[in-house]
Amino acid sequence: MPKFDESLEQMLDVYIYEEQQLLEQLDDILMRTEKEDTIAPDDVAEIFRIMHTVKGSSSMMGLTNLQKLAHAAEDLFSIIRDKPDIAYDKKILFDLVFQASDSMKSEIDILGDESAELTDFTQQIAKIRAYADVMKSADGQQIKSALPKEDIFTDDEGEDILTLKVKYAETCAMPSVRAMLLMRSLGKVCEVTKTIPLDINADNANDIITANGLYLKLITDDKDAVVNIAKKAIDVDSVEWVEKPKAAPKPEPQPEQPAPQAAKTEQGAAEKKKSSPERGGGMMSVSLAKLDTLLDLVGEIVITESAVISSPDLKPFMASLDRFSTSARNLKKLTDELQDVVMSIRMVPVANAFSKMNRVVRDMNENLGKGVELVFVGQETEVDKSVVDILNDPLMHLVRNAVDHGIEAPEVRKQKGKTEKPTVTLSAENSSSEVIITVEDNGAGMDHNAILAKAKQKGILKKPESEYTKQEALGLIMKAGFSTNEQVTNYSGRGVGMDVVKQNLEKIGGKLIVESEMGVGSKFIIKIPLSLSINDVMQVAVGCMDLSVPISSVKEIFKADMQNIVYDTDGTQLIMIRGKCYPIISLPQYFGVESRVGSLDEGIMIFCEEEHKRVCLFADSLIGEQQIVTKPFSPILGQYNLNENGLSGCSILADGSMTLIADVGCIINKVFGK
Amino acid sequence: MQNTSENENIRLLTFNCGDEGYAIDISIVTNIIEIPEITFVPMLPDYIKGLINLRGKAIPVIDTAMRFYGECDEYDRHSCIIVYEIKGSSLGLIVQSVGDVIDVSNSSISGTPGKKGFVSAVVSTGEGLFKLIRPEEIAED
Repeated sequence: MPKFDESLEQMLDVYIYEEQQLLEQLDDILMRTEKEDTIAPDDVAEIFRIMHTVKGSSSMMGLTNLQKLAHAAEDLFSIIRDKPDIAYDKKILFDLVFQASDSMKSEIDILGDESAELTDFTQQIAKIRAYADVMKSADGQQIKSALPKEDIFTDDEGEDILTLKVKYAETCAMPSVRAMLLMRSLGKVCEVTKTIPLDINADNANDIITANGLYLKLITDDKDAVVNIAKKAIDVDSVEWVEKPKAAPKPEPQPEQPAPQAAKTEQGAAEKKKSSPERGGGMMSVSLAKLDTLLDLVGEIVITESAVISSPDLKPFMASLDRFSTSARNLKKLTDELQDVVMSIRMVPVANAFSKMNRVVRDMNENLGKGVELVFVGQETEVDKSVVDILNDPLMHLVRNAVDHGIEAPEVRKQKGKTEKPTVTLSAENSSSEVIITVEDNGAGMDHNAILAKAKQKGILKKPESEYTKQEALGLIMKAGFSTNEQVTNYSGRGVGMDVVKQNLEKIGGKLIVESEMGVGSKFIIKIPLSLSINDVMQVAVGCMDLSVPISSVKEIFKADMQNIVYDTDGTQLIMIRGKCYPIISLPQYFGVESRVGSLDEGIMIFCEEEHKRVCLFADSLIGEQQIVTKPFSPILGQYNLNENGLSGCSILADGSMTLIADVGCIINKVFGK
Repeated sequence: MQNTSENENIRLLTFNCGDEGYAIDISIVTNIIEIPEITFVPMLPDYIKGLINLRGKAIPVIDTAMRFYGECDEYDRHSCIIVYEIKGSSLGLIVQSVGDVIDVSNSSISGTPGKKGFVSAVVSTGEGLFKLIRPEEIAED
């Protein structure tokens, strides 16, 4: 069953986006105020406003459950707002609001899913209402809103002004919003000069409209059209014309001044809109899908451009292509700039992903009593929006794990003589082509022997226990079906988790590395490509392989001279470059393919540097320089650990052929160890 | 949607591999294509021939004969790749030749030869026996 009117469906995206923004804002305020331990009047007003907006837009979408929940929360804060010195228990209040915010968030998450029913929040609402009553009775006062009476007919009213009475169904939750919508649609056939109640944005307008009905003063040529539109409006019970009592003395006709009133309602609507997500001047939000398309297109343009400019068909005319070359250079400059701009549009600070963790840690502290402090480092680091989105889940897992498994219980810490505060540090930094995000705790650390034993018990060891290095043993926690905590807790230990985190990261070409020191703490390092986009690479042939080495790791390319090549005692080949000796990694040998050249001096040497390690990679021949869009390998190949063995992905070139992308850092580490 | 009730028909695509008849549930098959240029990827089992470019997507392809019998078939002009989707990813099977699309009733599908393995059942039709493959097993090492 669809949850919405068809006409509302197109608004759903906007609604969800706005609600999410509002609720995030709400969480921020709650987190801050909870930390500060006071709710400033401004914050109360802000929370009230957020709840009010949620209530309004939810009712517009016809989501009565959300609207009622927001209404209850709104009422709670309206009490505090009206009586700032009223006594209340902050903890209960925060819990109630946090719960409400969580319920709303999860409800909004499943809105698009037609199979999921609307959740019933009655109990939660009752709880909030009950506490509101507690607060009120504690104050010994009941807040009552009297309905002010307004005269329907004034003496100075013109003859041609008609009065329409619209009565809304009693079930209609927000008649004032409906009234606003009604007036907007009536605008086509008449001019509404005045409404009774006068200000339909007022707090008590809903009650008045429900009780007395809505009176509209309007001028029109087509009375029937007005009635028809009014009758068709949602939740309208009855529509009737009200005659002005004849007894009143006829006043002088007054010059028409509908403008101020109309303007007022317009302005009211505008104000309401503005008060939703707060945006700076001149900003606008664009759907991510459009940006993705734009980025894809730019990627295609860049690749097609290089296909055109370096087309082999042009070769015979190269000598006479001066003007073409100039234009080509200009075009390249422009496309490069275009690419940079598009990329920068998508860049957002990782703080967006980090700040969500505040809430996670807060909730866990509440439940586990570990008093963990969350510290951010480098949260202003900018990464592609898609990267931030992907980071959310892994971060959540890692932070939960760190707090739940990593940090010891307070008694244990005391026993061990750990005096420093239990801390989880989230840090972000840029490193050439990657963003490195670490989640570090100063907890118990992981015992790699215990992990090995556990893995053995679970039957996930692939070689004899004694052959596992510490690093490999730690890596086992990322295998499917592994969980070291004997007890399943609320937060982790369901046996899924680390392996899912790892898989998700690998899907986008990322890596997850675990480091841990017993008694000192654990560190989870996430490395993800800066953006999932275009890279410059050097394309080389390695046996039957077509391999691309990212230019960011290449220092120079040259042909080796046999007399510069020396052999180490263990058979390692070394090469002298400007008086210094560097090891050679033969790529054909590394990848297990047959080289097409006989000796080292027939092929090419690629001098690379990665993480301060310098090596020479040997390949058969140089194909050329390319710009490529890296695609991660199909998940089907995930089981073969290509990413850990020096291939970060593949790419499809302009002519339709494919190339594999080498991860130089990984190859170096694989050959020489860490 | 696969239907398991007794009288329901299911639709299968038959193909040959090592001169034997096989069948795959056609509802997961997305393409049947000629064998294009295959990009070699190292460090994989030898039955994974590499990647092909199918409309901008890099799809791994498996030599079915190599996978089933451990030896390559001869490819000729009848050989092609059956592309199917499993767990949201595409995978290509190089087969000797593709046969027909057949409708079979569940009652003519018999037994599970083994709990594991590439074949889940045998289908008997007027044209002979076809071994129904487990598409997900083929991708698992």
